[in-house]
Amino acid sequence: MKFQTIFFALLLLFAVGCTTPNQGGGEERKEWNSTGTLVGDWVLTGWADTASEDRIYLRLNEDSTFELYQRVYSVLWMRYTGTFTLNNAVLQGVYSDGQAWGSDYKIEYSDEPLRIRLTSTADDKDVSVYSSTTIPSNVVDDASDALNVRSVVIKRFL
Amino acid sequence: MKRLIFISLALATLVACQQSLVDERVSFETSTQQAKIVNSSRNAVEGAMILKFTDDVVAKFEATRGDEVTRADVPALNAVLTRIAAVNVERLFVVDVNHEERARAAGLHRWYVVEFDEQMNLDMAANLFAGVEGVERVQFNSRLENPRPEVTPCQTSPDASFRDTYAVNDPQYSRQWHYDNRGDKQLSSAAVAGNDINLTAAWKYEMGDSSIVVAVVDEGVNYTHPDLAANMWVNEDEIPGNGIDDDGNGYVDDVHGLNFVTGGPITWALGSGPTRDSGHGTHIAGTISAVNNNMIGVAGIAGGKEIGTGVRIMSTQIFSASVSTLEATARAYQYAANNGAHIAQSSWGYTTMIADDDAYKAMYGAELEALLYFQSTPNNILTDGSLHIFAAGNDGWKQAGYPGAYRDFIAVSSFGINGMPAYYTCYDLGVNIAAPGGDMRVDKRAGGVLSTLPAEIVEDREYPYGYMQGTSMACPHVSGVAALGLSYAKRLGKTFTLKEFQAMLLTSVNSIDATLEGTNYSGYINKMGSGKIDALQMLMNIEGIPCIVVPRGESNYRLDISPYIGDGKSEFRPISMKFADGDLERLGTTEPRIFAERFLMTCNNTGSAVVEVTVLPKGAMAGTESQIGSLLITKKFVLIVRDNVTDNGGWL
Repeated sequence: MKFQTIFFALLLLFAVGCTTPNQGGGEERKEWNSTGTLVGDWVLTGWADTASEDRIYLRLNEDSTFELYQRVYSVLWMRYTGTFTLNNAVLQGVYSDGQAWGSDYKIEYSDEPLRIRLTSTADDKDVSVYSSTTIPSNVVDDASDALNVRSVVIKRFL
Repeated sequence: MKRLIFISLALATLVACQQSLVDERVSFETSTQQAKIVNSSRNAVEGAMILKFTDDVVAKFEATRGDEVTRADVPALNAVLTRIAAVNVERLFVVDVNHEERARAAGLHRWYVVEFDEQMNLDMAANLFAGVEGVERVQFNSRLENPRPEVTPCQTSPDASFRDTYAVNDPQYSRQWHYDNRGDKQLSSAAVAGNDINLTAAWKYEMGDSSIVVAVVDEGVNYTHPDLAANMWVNEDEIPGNGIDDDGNGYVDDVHGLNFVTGGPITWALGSGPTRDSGHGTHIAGTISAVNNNMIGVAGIAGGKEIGTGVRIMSTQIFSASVSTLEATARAYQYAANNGAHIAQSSWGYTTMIADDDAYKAMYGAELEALLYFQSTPNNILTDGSLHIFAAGNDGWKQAGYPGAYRDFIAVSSFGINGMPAYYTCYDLGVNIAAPGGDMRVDKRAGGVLSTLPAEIVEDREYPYGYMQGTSMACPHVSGVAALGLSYAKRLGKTFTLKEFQAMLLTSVNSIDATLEGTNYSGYINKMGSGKIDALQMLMNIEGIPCIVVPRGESNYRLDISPYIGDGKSEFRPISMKFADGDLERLGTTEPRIFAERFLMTCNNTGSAVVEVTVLPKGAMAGTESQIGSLLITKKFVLIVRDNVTDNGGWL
């Protein structure tokens, strides 16, 4: 974990060095960068060019665990947990039930405002933008553990 | 004396008109005339008839004002009025100066009540009226039955051992298993956890708003009850006790509502013996909006966070000492519509089985017009109408009773503390949803629904609370959850159409069928409506709409809609899925087909769209004029098309 923290700090330093605002002849500041802040609370604000509101929260922890709070298939909040890794700007994850995330994601960062952008490596139209936030306490308190609840709603024709 | 003079004049008129009367004498065998008589004189009020006039006759009738019963330019009608010694002819739906234009647009001004000699044979009078060309419909003023429910008083000392863990300081909340059933065997050996409306969880978000009004169409509500008074609706435009219709709504001193049987003050403890009032209306009002957190008695679903903040109860009394009439019922719903009620809570129905909507409309035309008038009245939350919630009935029929069974109304079935269908509940055709109504065969005391009662009714006058059971008690649970939903919508600044709100209510459910498999109650599977009402789900449905995720590019993906509704365990069958203009093309798809109770769809482009999905509970048919059935449920979803669909439902 310490290594990861140092790595992110170095990246940030590097990023600062390379993104000095243009002052007449210097490099232009990019909206999306290859380095930035990953750990923290995030809320999905846009997916596939469509705005999203109060539906998905993501907590990425320093110990490479995550909590995903979502109100997608049901109107009630559900909590998913698991672990993630970041390799060469690609975010991968595994849920606590052993299932891998549906995709790997190329990650990009924005400083102002603080955001991350996840683009599926399998489908470049599957683009999610998350903004930094504080996950509301009622979401954390009310969420049911999706991976231990029989009523998880996905069914597929076999 | 006035009446004697009138009769003398009438006789003179009768002689003069005799020839014309003979000419216009009713042919009793004429089927067209007979078809105007829509119900039976059995159990009807003597000396009264409800008539619907044509526009032409109404215009002539209204052109003549004064004390005369007869009117100029309607000789055929005059002759009948004279013949039956009519003493009064007045509008069935009173003139409310604030809403007269709307009432006339709905045709309510064409209904009249005629009062006449009580010795006159009702069938003969009906036939006389049916023979008049300007009379479109003849309806006997039927009495409604009001079977007295069993009342079991509440124990005065609640067990404090589990009181402290509950959400409010109302000491009897722990006995109200129907709100939050923890399976506590101290309360009842039959208690099974989860068989409730999930109220404690919902209260984190909303406890009721005082701008929402629920009309209790029932016996009178004890508006002075210490656990109701602060949440009673008050007609601010009426000065109490001055004998004047201050607001011009057609009624005098209607401060908290009105007794429509007498036309006077609300009552709740009249009659004696078998005709004695039972406290039914007061009990129902308490379930919806007993005052919360006042450190006494019980809690109400939308009773507010503190004293005086709950939804308001309007008492529209249609039963008084076991007397009720169609006339009173029709006026009560007009009143509820004109005076701002969002919900009409109706725990009553006909004990005669009615086949379908066409038959109901034919038999109870005036009443249905009043019900539809209420339903078509918009309010500040529902943009195009107001909500009817009815009890399904206690006769154990395989259909809901009317009016609840009418296709546009919601009819509520009942389950007990053990989650099983109550022994008395009507079920199957026309039943829309289930709620706790109690089953005192399972537990003769705690198995009922606990709520407020008038002190005059209970044995212990110092403690006016008690248990009752019935779909009458289940119904206000749905009304209360609906009122809570309207309160939350107001808080969030949201509005909905009536259909949208009905759909949210009917899909805020937990499966009852899943618990019936393999039990003695398996005959009720797919017959209790869409499921057991859940208050938290209702508030979450108000907040936002759920998503359906479809894999991109999968040919003829078979979508089962049931997992996306309620707790995911109730079964629904798809009827249609509609897209907005442009969304089909954007998602690279065509309108889905239906096969084997699944949507079949192929979506080729990543993206999302809001769709309207119409479903019915499995085993239900859509109600039509000639087929009793269920409300079609049309609900919005966000359809998401993407590659990354995980089996466990995780978004990433």
